[in-house]
Amino acid sequence: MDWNRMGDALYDGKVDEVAALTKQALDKGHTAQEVLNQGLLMGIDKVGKDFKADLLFLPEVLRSGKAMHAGMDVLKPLLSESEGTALGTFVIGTVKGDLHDIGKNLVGMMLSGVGMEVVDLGIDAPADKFAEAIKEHHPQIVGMSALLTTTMDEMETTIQALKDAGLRDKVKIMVGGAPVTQDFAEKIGADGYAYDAVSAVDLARVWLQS
Amino acid sequence: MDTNYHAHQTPQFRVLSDRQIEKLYEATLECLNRTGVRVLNAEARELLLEAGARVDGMRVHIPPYVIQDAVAANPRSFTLWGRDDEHRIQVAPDQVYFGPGPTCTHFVDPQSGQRRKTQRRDPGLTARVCDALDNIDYVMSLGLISDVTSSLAPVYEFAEMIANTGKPVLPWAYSTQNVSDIHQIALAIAGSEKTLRQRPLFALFSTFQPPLVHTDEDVANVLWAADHDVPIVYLGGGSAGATAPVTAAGTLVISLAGALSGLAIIQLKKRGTAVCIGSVPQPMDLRTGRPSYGAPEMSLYSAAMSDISRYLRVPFMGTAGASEDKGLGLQAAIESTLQVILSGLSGATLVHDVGFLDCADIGSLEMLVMTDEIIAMSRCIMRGIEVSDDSLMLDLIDRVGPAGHFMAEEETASRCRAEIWAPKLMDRNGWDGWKAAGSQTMKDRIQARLHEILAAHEPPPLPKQVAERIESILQQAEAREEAQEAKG
Ligand code: B12
Repeated sequence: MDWNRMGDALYDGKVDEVAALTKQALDKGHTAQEVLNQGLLMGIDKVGKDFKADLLFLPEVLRSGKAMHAGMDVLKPLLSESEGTALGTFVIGTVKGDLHDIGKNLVGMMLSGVGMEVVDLGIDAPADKFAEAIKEHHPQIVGMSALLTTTMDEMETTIQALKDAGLRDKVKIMVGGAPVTQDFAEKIGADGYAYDAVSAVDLARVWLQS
Repeated sequence: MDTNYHAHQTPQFRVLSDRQIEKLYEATLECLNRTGVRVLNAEARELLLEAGARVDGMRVHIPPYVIQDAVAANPRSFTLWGRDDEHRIQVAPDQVYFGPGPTCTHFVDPQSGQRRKTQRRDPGLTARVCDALDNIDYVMSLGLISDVTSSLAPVYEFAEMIANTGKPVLPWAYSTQNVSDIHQIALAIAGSEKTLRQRPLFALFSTFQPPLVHTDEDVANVLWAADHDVPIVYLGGGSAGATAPVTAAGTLVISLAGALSGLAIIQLKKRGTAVCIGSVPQPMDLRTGRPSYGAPEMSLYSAAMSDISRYLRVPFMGTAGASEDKGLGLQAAIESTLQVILSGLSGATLVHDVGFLDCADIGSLEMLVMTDEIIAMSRCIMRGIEVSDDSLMLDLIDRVGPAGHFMAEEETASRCRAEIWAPKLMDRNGWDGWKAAGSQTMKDRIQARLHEILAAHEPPPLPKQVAERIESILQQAEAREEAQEAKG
């Protein structure tokens, strides 16, 4: 299999081509795990590196993420349960009262671009919406976004609600948004904070590996 | 007499041709009809439905005539008053005024120079500095107060601002309760409902959510304002590539569609309400995804919005003096200069956000003081050149003659102030003169001027009983919030 070709297609964000090449690789007898590791993950790693080196821009990275996803969709039924979720499920939403979603969307798209399953709760999401999502999707990580001073406290409220519902210990909680800080994250009992989408991805990966 | 001759032509930065403006306007009308907008406020949906819009759940498809009607109903010109009559402004296309922006999470402490959370006194300091600066025409807070009951922050902001300036003030609000409190404060100053309606002391600043969403709260606020004859600024604006298509034209359609559908809601509520539409159309940054205030495209797109607004004869709020710099540095100076000159030359009516740093997250009085000087320079250019028999001065030239000089002539003395701008902050000394004056950098001079204003400038004082009335309005608001809190 020409993994380079797959990598290039991924790099260029060619959604259909990546899906086709993924099928082709399976037809040639490669295991789903091989295609994932040698093809998709290698390719997306280069995208990540080049983004950090300022060689790629956000919309290009997000396109590659979409292509990655197209490949994942082909592989998913074949990856065993544990392998399929090895990349993790991430529930993300903008907390109640807050309508800012550019940053939240970006974080979601980046996570999904590296192959994670992302459940987006949208904007203005109250605590029980997060609780429901945990029950329904069994995520490893829950992410909350807030851009307003008035809605930051809603993160604490949500964490408390998850505690009350007995769901807090089932997930790791990551918070972010312009006014949020590491100190604030610690104060409200979140597990972590990331100041931008790239560091959110990095932190999620660290958590999922441990 | 020269025919078809203007002695005084002001320079203009025009981005769009007449035909391009029409095409953008028509595209916007099509977008509002075909795609429609999400209107999260029930009363507004009802108003639009009655006017002939198609309503499908929250989605409202607005036919062109509703928008065209609203444009026709909006006053082409209206007055905003300050506490002193001297500072009233005429909000109309082709008039250009500058002022700060609202709600920065952080503020540069004028004493320590450090970035910190915004405190209660900061909007008052901002107002005091604006009051003293010749080229700042109206006041916004530059900060979202962090150390008061958070749901009342906009009310405290207004109370602090109005006490510290004679210029018009543009507050914002979380809720109609906030707007009502702010209105009470303005009433305390105006003396009567009638006076306030005739001479509005403030315009409500409110935002829509790009792409194509009107939130429940913001719409409720502007409906309340329209009901009470409070002028309104309704602003939003797509971020190219994020909340709008990546193209400039697509971003302009998103910006205009949000603004004009908002205008329609307001005019349907009360025909003739004074509205200034606004937009901060900018590109998202390709690396961070943040809207880029400092981008040259922001000035280009805003100038295009000015062109369209002038064509519609609807006043427009533009943006300048807002940098991505993290402090008062070279980047701030470059970005502010470009923005001020282009928004001045393109004729945005209320240019806001002067004093912003770090993408609207830090308010800086130093930035405000520096930009005041930049505005002065750009106003000098906006003035253009008068070419008339009087200004050609051929008689004077003949009188002085070859090898003469003009410095001591009567005409020179009597007209020098009007003709030649004298900087307040820019240094033009020779080297020795500069050393003798303390070898100050631009930043030193900006800080010195800022501290001089903070120490010495006295805004028109509030009568004692008015100040007491405002204090009691704030206390009542606190008591109400407490009662609501207790209720759960
Ligand atoms: C764009 C914008 C808007 C748009 C939102 C459009 C949209 N669809 O989201 C509009 C115009 C609608 C808007 C409305 C308002 N806004 Co606003 N807005 C902004 C602005 C300029 C940029 C925000 C943004 O999109 N940034 C770009 C993204 C990419 O960055 P980001 O959101 O920070 O996200 C990154 C990180 O924070 C992190 N991150 C974000 N979420 C998460 C989540 C997780 C789990 C993790 C790990 C990381 C993470 O990763 C992201 C990617 O790198 C900010 C200023 C600023 N500098 O933040 C003000 C700002 C946040 N807004 C502000 C305010 C006050 C308001 C309004 C009340 C009115 C107003 N003044 O405009 C309303 C409130 C509406 C509401 N109820 O929510 C203030 C907030 C003050 C405060 N501390 O409370 C700010 C600071 C600006 C200002 N001076 O007015 N706003």
